[in-house]
Amino acid sequence: MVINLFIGLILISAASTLITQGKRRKIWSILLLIALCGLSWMVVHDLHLVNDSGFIYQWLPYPKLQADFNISASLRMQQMLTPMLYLLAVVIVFNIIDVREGYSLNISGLNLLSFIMIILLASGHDLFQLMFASALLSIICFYIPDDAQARHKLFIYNFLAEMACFTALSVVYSAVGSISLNTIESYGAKIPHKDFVACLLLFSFGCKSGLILLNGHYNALASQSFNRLCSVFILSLPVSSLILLSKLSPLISDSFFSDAVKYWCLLSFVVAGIRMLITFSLNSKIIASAQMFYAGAFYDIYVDGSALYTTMPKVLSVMLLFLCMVYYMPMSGLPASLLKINKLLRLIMVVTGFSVIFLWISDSPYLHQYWTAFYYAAIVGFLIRSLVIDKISTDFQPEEKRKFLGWIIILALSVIIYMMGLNNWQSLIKLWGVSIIFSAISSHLYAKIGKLGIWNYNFIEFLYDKLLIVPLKFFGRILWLAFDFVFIERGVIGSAASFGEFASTKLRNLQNTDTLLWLLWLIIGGVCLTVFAGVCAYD
Amino acid sequence: MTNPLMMLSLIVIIPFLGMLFVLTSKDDSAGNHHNSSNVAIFTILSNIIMIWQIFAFVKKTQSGMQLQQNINWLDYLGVNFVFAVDNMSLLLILATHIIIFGGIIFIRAENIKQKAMMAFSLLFLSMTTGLFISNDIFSFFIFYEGMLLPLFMLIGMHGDFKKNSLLNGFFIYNLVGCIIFLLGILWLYKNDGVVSMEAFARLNSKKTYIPWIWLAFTIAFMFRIPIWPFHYFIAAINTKLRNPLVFIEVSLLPLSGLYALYRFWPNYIPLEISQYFVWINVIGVLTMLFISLIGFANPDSQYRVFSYSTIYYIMYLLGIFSQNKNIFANLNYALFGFLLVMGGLEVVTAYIRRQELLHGSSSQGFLCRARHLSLIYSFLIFSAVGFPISSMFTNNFLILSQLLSVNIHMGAVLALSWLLVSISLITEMLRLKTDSKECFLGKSDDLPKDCFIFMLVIIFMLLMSFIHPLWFVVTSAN
Repeated sequence: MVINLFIGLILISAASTLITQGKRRKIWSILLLIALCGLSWMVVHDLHLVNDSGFIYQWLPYPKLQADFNISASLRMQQMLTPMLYLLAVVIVFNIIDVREGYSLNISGLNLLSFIMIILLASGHDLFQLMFASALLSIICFYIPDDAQARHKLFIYNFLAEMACFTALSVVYSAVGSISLNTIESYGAKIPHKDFVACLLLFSFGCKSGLILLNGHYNALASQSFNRLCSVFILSLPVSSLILLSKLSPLISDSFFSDAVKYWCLLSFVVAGIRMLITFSLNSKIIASAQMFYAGAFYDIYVDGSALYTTMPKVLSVMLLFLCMVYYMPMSGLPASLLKINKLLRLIMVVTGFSVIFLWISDSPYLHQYWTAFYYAAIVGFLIRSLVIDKISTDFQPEEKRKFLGWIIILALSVIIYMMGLNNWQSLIKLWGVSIIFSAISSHLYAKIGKLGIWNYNFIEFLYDKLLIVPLKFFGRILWLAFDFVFIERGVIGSAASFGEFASTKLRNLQNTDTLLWLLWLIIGGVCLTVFAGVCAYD
Repeated sequence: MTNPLMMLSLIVIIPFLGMLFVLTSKDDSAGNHHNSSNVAIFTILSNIIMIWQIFAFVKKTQSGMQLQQNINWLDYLGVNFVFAVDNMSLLLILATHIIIFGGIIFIRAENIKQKAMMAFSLLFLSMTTGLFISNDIFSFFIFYEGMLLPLFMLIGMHGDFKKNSLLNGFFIYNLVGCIIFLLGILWLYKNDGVVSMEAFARLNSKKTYIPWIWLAFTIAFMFRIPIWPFHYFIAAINTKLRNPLVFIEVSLLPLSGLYALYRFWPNYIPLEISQYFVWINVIGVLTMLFISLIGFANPDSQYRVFSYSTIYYIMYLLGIFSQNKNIFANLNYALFGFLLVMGGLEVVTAYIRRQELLHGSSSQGFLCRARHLSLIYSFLIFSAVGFPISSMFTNNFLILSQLLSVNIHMGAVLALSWLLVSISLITEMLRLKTDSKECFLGKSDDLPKDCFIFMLVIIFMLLMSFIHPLWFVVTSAN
């Protein structure tokens, strides 16, 4: 069934690229959506027909480099892909209903292509397929933003990530002699330069996931419309990083950085959460929320790779639900007469919150429960703050009738999520409690730290300026002056030219018409001939 | 297998005959300047068909040179011309033909007298083809140095040099390399009577003069490769060339040096000699870093293409010196893809530059208006930087992994140089895709149809080379 899905998606995306963008783009987009829904129904309907053989095409048959093109049809693959199909359909619906989107068909086609690459990534059994799908995903995402600066940053960051991954996997191949993931897993601990490989892979995955210090490119997407943000964050680059992490985690574990990853994820989660709470820009909130989620998912999958197939699709759905709520909810202000009630309300919130925290700590939660708890807390806290307490300024607002459609989508997503099993009422109580605290402190947070430049700090650009441009200007000048100019131009070439000039001048002088010089040359010639004749005679 | 119908000689003679036809073509005014380029195009196409036929006779699984053809020359000295081919030489011949063809397609649209340019280009093509099929040392030397003659003429006519001293220096520089090569050959012939390249590879390194001959040959070949300190003239000449056809042909000089090193590589190198290869590695990676940094900082698109080609040539040079059999086996496919990408990049870069000059406009944002050019340029850039859409991806992976296994530090610096030059190319592409009010170029300035179709063929070949390297080879029924 996965093979049928794969081929069907290729055909639909090919059709979307062939049809030109025109006045009927919305109609074509709806037809594309219907085709996708039909394909999804086929997949879900035949979910029980599991064919474990999958599809394998022998691409490179060389003994030292056996690469196959593999599409897995295992049950857990299908269980992972099925909810993601729903999300794909929802994202395409956003492309259709957004009035500002003038390229809905193109973007929908790109969404389909992204999903195809996700399938290839998840099915990959060797390094080539992983790198192939990841790199093509970077190319696809290059065409999603419509702002030049955002596009540039997104592409450059992802290219750096691809290069880092490529270099790391080259080291692995040189050590192991195979690109098969099974071989790498068994040799994982014995690879030389393990720390170097782990560092490069973490850089690559961190860039794609948007972890702290490596998220400048995602922050730059704040100018994009909602549907394009969903196209990037829901089924694209960050998801690819999680899949790669799941498959290549043996190369990171047992390295120098293996423990640091957890703290990195935690820090990313906290910073993204604070940014989400304190920023007044709607798109920045959406981006920060997505970064929060991916920081948590990164940790979850790093600890337990199988979470890729179980937890991740569910939490992706929750994330999309949250993004929809943020985007479509009505914005309200607080009348001045409610201020007194607000203070009383805040007091009750703080007391309740501390009580819930006490109850929560008495359990023994693992970190993945922490991050989902905090995540949901942040969602609800934001909602409470937005609906009840503060007025929020926004970048873009959907039209009123679009908001109605948006709430229908939110309802549908909620039903899907409930059906996936997120119906634990005890967790919900915990979440509500912590969220009350979040809502109370969020406006204070903005007042204290919201205007600090650190939230928009770009680490990569700092490295670029200080570690590349400055040394480039300095050492480039020295290298050119010392080696090219002094050694080659003045030293070798200048000396050769000077010697040639000297020799030609002297030879010219020696060949003038002076009689004495003529006699001298005659004698020299005679001596040479005599010596040569003598040598020949002796031989 | 015997050489059917003397095909190997034919692929050398055909461009030479084409040159003669070009010289006799009517091309005396601006209105008739297509005649010579049409003859050149027809000649190259005919030769490509011939090369394609030769592929069918070459057995992919058999190592060593095949389809040997002997031409008597100086029997009493035991010196004869021996031609033979294998997959590597055929792929390089084909790539050379394709990129020169592309350069001619581009130049054809220009309103300048082209007779001399076409004549010398065909002569250069003939000499280069002869170089790749030579299987004895003397014919190799003749074609190796013979390719310089038309090149000097082309550089002199179209190099746009304000000072002749640079051209004179370039001539003397290559002459020195030629003399060293000739001395090595004569010394070898005098002591061993060796004329065959296979026999040279089997020479006993314990003879005291053999390492010196190797050194002479290596230095002579390195003169052509832009590795420090041999990079000076090649860099100076290349960066001043604005004619894409001449740039492409000058960019093939390092290829001849690389090919020569590959062909003359001994079967066995003693440790006393191979221990010095580490210096080649160090100098190579430092040169790569230097050139990549300059290319990164230099806004000139031509220099960026030059730095890109330099990085890759040095990488392949390091691959040869690593003495790794996997790299040797893969080098032909790597060079084939690289040449197509480099030639294509130079042609489109020159086209954009020409449009800038013609209309007095900035090129920033040009790709937002020219769809065909945007497609071609984007594909070539993605391919050049190593995305998995052409064989460059697979080959780069193999070569980088082998070099990393030799020395991780060297490999890391190589990867860094590669990254810098890739980012410089990507930055240029992003600049062209950022719309600007200062750009007056429009849809009508897009690639002409013939150029677009040709570039689509290049793209198709690159894509197919990714899926299957020798997809275009049809095995002979015999």
